[in-house]
Amino acid sequence: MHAMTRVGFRPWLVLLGLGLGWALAFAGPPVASPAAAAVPEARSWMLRIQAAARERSYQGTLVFTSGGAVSSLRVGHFCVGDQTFERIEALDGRRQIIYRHNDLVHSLWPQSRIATAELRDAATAAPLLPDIEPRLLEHYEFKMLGGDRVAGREAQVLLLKPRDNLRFGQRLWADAETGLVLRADVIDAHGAVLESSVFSDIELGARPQRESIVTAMNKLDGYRVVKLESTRTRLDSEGWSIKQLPAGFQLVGCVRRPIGGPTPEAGAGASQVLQALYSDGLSRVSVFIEPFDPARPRQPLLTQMGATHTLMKPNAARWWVTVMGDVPKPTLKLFHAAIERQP
Amino acid sequence: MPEESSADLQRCRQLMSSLADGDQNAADAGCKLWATDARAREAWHTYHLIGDTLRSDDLAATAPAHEAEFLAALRRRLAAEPTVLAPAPVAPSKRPQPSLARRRWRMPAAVAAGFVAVAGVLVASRTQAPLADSAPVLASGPAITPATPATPVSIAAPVPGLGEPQWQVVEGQVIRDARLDSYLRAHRRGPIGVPGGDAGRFETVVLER
Repeated sequence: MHAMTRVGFRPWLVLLGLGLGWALAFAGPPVASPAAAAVPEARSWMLRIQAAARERSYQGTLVFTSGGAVSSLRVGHFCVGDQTFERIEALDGRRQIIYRHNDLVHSLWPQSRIATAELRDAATAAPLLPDIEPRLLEHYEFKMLGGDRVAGREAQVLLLKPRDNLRFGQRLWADAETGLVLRADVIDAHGAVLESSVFSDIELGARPQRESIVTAMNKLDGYRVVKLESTRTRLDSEGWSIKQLPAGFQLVGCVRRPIGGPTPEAGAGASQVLQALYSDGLSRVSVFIEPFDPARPRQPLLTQMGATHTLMKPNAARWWVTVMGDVPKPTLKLFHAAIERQP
Repeated sequence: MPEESSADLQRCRQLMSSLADGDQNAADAGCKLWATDARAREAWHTYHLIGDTLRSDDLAATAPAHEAEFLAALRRRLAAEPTVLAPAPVAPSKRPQPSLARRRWRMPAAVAAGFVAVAGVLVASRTQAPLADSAPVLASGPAITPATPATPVSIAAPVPGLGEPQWQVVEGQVIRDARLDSYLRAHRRGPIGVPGGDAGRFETVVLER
């Protein structure tokens, strides 16, 4: 009895010393001792990756492979002081260019001369590269897989393996010098790659093209500009609650936004949808809620494209709930079942 | 007078916007206005172009000029018809824009159904042909990463890890909700277009019973 208490006691002391954040990191697995050595290293890599995504300027070509289809994007990301400027151009299929200055996002379709302008909440504007928070270590096991080369740069390969079956794992190639993610693969429980984003070439510390981005954003001559206005809100003030989230997922933000509507002048109304975004520090799930009119039937469905799974079906016959995320299908069902209309 | 006409135009656009959004309350007044007012038709067309552009590569693939041309041709033909909803036999040579096979199901369906069908509520069923066409293209593309062995062909395959009887795989048909791309755009950021069109990205489509 005495011996047992002592064995159980020692890790506790260590945890107290490491602080709450690390204690949480230990909370996942019952057997924490082998992972203990890896945690400080894991944490430091997560922080480097996070910092690099926010502070580094780069430009390059990002190749995206999903569900057997390949597309590439020309990406320029520039940080000037606390300002972020970005230009993303689709290199395949229909022409589309996205400009971003902080939270102002312009999307241009040069062929149809249509542009959208929207303010995106930093919290819900999912970044192009994986958005990583150290708290993910609660739900993913961290492993270093050694060195590799990506886009001509030395990289460290990191494996984030889920501790349960509620999420997918990821293999990350982090730039050895800066920590910037140069390649990310989403992998399923059997190790198959569901989706991959990789820089085929990248220039780090690229000279900021601030002026050209600002100029392009102010010059929309000849474009029909559609303003997409989203407003920040809260699930409870919209009459919704989530009783039990799948383990590890936390609310990132909640907005009311126009969606898919060809209704630039209808104002707030029919085509508005409530979006709540959740994250476990690595994987993201969006819950979209909108009124459902039984006179306009929609087909409940479950789809997969690469790592992104979508479940859409009604809630209480009056609401249409779409759950979309880079997580396995059963997790989507847990989200769908957790959404409740408040009486 | 100019003020009144501007308010009038505003009202006309609102109505077309509601109609394009599938609002039933706008159906009667909207259809009437669409039939009589050229400005209403222009607004209607614009809203659909915008909606299609934002929604999907596939829908907006045709140049806007073609769309306008098609609408004009359709109107001319409708005007020539004795009764709009009881089409008389027409010689094949007079068919407008026979190459626009995709439009063919969209626009006449929209007209017949009082425009509600196009508004994007819904589920569009298509054959698997476009998928089959795109598969070899994708397979021969540059093998940059070890992609999943699953190809779009897996539409008819069982869903691994699910195995529950209430889910049904639909064979030979791609069921798409036209708003899926909009959700995707809101969930992720960045362009979502990929070669092979939108349908090419869907590996597994399952319907709930």
